[in-house]
Amino acid sequence: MIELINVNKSYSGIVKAVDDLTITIPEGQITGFLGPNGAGKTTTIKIITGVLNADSGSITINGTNIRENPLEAKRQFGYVPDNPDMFLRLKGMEYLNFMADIYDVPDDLRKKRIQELAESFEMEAALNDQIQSYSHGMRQKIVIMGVLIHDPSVWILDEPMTGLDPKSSFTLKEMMKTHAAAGKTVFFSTHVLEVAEKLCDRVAIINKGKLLFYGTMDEMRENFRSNGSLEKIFLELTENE
Amino acid sequence: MNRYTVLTGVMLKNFNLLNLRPGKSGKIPIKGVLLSLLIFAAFLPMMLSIGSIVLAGYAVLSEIRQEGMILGIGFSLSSLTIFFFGIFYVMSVFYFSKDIESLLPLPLKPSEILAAKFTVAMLYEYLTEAIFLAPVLIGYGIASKAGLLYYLYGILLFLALPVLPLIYASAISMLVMGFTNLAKNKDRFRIVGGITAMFLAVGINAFITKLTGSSISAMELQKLMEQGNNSYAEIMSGIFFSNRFAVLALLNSEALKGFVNLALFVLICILFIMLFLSFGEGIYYKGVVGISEASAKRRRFSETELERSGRQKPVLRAYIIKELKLLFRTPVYFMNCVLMNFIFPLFIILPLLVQPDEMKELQVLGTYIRDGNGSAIVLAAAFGISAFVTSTNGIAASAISREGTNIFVCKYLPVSYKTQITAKALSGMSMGVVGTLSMLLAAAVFMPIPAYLMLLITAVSIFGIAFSSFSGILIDLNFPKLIWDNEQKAVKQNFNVVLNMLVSAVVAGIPVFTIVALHFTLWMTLLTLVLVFGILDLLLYNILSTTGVKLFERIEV
Repeated sequence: MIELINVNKSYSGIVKAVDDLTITIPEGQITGFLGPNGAGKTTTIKIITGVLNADSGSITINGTNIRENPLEAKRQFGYVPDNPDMFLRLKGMEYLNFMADIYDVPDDLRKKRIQELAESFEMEAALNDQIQSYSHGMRQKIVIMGVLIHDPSVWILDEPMTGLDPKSSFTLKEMMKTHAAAGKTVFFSTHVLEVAEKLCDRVAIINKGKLLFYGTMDEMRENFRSNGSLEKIFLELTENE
Repeated sequence: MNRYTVLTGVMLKNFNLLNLRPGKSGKIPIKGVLLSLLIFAAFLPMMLSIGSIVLAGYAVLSEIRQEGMILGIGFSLSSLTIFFFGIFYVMSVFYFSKDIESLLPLPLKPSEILAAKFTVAMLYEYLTEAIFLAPVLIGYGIASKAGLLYYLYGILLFLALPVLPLIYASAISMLVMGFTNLAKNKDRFRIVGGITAMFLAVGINAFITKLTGSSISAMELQKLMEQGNNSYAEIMSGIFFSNRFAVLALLNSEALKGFVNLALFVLICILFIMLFLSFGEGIYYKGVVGISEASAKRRRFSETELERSGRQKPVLRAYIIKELKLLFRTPVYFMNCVLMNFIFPLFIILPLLVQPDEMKELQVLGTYIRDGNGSAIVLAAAFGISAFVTSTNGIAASAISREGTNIFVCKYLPVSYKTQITAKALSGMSMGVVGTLSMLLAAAVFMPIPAYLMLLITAVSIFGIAFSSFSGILIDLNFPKLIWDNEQKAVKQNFNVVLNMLVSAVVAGIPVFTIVALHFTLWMTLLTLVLVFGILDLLLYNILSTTGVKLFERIEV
């Protein structure tokens, strides 16, 4: 569970990137995070993960406050950032083992997971090469694998589907469903409304740092008395701002 | 021409040498401005002493009417320095810069990109010149009570001087890179290419000094000097042959001869630029296209590989290994941070190999160390040098900067900032120890240093190495340079490294100086160093674990 209460963040003291955001991302569901470019999605995610400090407000992950008890809180989640260009000069295998060391994954467990993940993401042949030789999609995959290797209870994914081929995208979506079904938390941002519509139990829509809507898909349709697609609702919502 | 100006303008936006770019808060950071002033102040004594040497030299040399020598030597040494730094600048600006990838698809001629990049490298060289050549020109101008034309010519020559040495540096780099780019494993070959270019630069330097030293006999030189009339300038030659026109232009600034020589100098520069651009049109892309390609085998990992690599390591160790792997595998970091540790031993060995006579003197020095008070001085000196060498490798002082915009990864990993800082400091220290040991070994080959002294030096130098690593990382936590478009900017063009070199030189230098001046015995030296630096190290580590952690927390990109 992720809980944000009255979170504020501004750049230069003028532009409000996140404006008094209060939201609870529950367990056992997939929550999608939508909004136009520059709406504050990535900033919010960075605040949740401790990459950015909020100006005010409190953030807890599984009940642990990220500011007061950062290490404990950081162990709860796995984070896939929007840009996977990191640790480029490590080999895929070295990166996975680095993450496993950082998150205290014991020997036999990590071996099993590396094999399983390599197989389901079709990365067996790439793990011996440096990450800089990977394509964008492969980099995305290795970062996702690095997160899954320590099996965190909360998944936080920033645009995880970008650059993935259909099969990997499908695999990831299935994994997200399994994870949520096991009573864990999945929170991800996306631009692709079709994905959100098919995958999410709940959606949060923000624009200019403000939460415009938060609820289940059904609630949304009811709320807007519309049988239209999420796309239509989304466009209406964000344009009337 | 228009495209050249646009291109240069865009590249200069990324110049940002002093890290003065406004942050997200929109204001230019005060700390950064103060730091720049401090750095400038640190170079001031050096510039002033160059100036005063020029003034003193003028008084002596004008007696025999050879004051032109000052300008001659000034131009020659500046050209050499520009050439040497040029190799690094060219490698960084022409090849390792990230903008290359986005420039290649644009409808630009190679020579247009080359011209813009050459301009950027020229600007870096102006900073070098400002420190080395400007004091010479100004000092000479004051001493000779020169007129307005002298200063006008001086400015023009200052601006044009880097052209020739930089073109030489570019030509060497382009040939080396064109060749190494053929290789499959680009990273490894770029490392080899970098080392080759550096050795070529050192070798050519040595060759030039030898050539100019022997091409004219002492007798001839004396005869020439006696002629007066600034005849020295007339015999200047070598690869920077056009420098003689520069000197003659300044010496005769009030006469037509001066103008003719200035025109000649500028003409040669223009000619070289044209030659360079047409030569570069053909060869530049050979080194640049595909530079970002990475080799890949795409071979499935074996069971044993999985077994071997998958053994669980403690977090601190895993983090240090990660730091060192990135240092060794990134060509720019390897050259500037790893290789640097071996340059000083090389400096010790090379001159001795070239001039074997000095070997005998070292043997004498060896007996002095054994018998007399020399061992205390050697211990103190080795301590100071090891602290300084550690600061020159820049690993600690760029540890945060090297993360770049990926610093966010340090923030979400569940590793305390204290552990991360410690891991970064330890990776800097480990290379400092390697540097110190290799220097000791190099020295031991030529000097009979007793074994117990070697052991003492190793033990004591740890304290100095720790000090300069801690201070380096503390400086970098204060002024991290995270926005860069090529890795070179994180290590080479990072003033945190320079600042830490100054700090280390001063802090390690003072006790060493005291020990030598007060004739401490070996054991007093040992005790003093261990005590003073033991306390300093503890203090710094304490600051790092409190203030340092807070600073790390506050870093945002």
